[in-house]
Amino acid sequence: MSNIAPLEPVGPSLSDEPVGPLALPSSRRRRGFGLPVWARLLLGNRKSCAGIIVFAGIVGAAVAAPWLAQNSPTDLVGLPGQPPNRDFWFGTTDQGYDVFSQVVWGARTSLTVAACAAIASTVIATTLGLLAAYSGGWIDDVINLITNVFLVIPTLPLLIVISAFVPTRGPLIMVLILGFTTWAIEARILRSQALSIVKRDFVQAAKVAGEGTWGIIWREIMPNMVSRIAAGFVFVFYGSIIFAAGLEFLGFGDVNGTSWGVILYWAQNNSTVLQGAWWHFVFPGLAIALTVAALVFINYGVDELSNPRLRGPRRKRRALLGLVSGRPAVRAEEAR
Amino acid sequence: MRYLLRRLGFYAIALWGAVTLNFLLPRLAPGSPIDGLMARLPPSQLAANPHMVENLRAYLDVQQQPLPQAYLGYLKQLATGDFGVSTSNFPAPVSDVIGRVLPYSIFLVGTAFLLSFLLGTTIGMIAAWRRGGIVDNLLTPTFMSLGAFPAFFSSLLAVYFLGLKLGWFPIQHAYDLGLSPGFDWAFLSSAFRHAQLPILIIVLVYAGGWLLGMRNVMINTVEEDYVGLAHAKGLRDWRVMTHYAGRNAVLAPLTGFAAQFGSAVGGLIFIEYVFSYPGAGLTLQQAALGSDYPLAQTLLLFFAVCVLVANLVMDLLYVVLDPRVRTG
Repeated sequence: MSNIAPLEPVGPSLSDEPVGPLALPSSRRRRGFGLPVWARLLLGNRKSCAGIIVFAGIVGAAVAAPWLAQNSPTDLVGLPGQPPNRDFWFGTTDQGYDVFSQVVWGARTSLTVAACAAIASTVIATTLGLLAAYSGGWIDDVINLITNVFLVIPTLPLLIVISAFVPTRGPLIMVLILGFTTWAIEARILRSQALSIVKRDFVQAAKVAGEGTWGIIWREIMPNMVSRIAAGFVFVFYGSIIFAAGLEFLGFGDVNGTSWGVILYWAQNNSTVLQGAWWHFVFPGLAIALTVAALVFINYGVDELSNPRLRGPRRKRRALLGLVSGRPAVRAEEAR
Repeated sequence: MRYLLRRLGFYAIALWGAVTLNFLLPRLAPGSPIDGLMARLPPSQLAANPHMVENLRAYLDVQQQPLPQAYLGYLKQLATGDFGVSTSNFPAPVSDVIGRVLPYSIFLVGTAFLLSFLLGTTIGMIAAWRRGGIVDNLLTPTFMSLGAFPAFFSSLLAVYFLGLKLGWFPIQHAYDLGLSPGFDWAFLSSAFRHAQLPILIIVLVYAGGWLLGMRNVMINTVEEDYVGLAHAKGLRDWRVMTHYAGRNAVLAPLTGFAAQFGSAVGGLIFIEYVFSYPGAGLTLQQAALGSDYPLAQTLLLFFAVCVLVANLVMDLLYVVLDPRVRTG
């Protein structure tokens, strides 16, 4: 085992830039009002704060489903084909199911599947990306090849064909398939980020101290990339929501279950759209759109935090002004 | 030249990888696909296609051979253009089925993709140039939210509001019923009318990605010294924007072309499904649902090849656009 104490993660910095000398004493870590630094930064950014609030509301609705939606989503509770009214806020389907119940209960399945798939995908991406960056040589080549193949094959057709071969349908299978197919982009990004870390002294020190490959990857390199991995997780989560709902919409989910994509599947399959029953597809669709929009906003905030140039008003004028008045344009950069 | 050869080598390896993955997929799946199929198939479909099961068994039995042998056989089949027989269109070979549906998809996705690229990069360029201006404040968020909408939801909304309620566009199929495909005016005009709404949706959904990519790079480009110099030379504003800042900024989003194209292929499946548009995407969905493995696998391979070719075209274009690559 290593006799060098594991370094304190510098993770909370959301910057994508190299995180400076890593041998800082751990007391240098800033502490806020009990919230980690990244959380305060994200809540301080207007866009990501809005995204977090909306997303928290959706999760809250999913958790509170038994109280919010009294009708069972799988019982025929009303006359078929009712538009939204006082009893059925989102109307009823062409069969007589309560669309509101379906959307609220469906949130549970959709969010859980997407979260689990994103976790699986992130674990694969982190493992492969860091292993490739740290090992180099033929391991790097092989992982690179596999990553490139997965990047070249369009994800949705691949998902569809795998679904065709899998003997059963359901949430667990969906999680596995999504995790298996969506990791490539993140693995590529994490590998390139990790390349700058593996050359650092502390990694070499751990190596000399005799720590094994996995120990170095998980205890030395990974803690320094937490912010980047978290940003990637949000991205994959966003993709998983869309891919899961899309697959279900196309009929590759458990069509007897309750989730946003399955509601849309029945709306399309029973042609209720063409019969003018807009409530059957608008509400589940809006739920999906709202969720992914919230995630996009969260990611937008993360992007702005890591790339200050995306923030604030245009500085071209200021830069030019600096040029004219004889001050170096760099000033504008510093003045931020 | 060295650059292009290196890229070609990479594509050859990636193609080999895609073929191999395609070969391995049925073997990686738990259980025998034919058992799952037998459990899922409705008896009526079996009765209608008595040859289907034998045919599938033949297709899958080839894959029960020892791995290396089966792999060589698979490669040989692909090399000779023998993709098997489509079980859902028995006895039509897979290549015939794909040949029939392909023109629709190429037309749809080709036109739409080009338009969304032109629209997105142009707006992105202007938005970054006049940062905080009307275009930036109005169009950037609009296209961003359109792009964040999942393609299937946008298509459903468009079908309902633009097609059904307003009646501006036809909402189903690729051409009017009663016409037969051919190069005559009646068919082509009908096909064109039916393609308008799907194309509009693809453009609106995918322009956002180009817009954001272009805008983010362009924001950095407008602060470069050579842009300031071009201004100082007294060049007109739009010329500096297009020829100095824009030309350099567009290179970065172009590298994302393949990823965009891959996701557009995904979007194509949804849009064809919603519109019952008889292209490759709808065919893939139908084939996979109907357990027509030969057709589904060939289409997957075909999509992968399309993305590869798109990459290659982009590399060539890159050489034209960026003189540095030619010498490097």
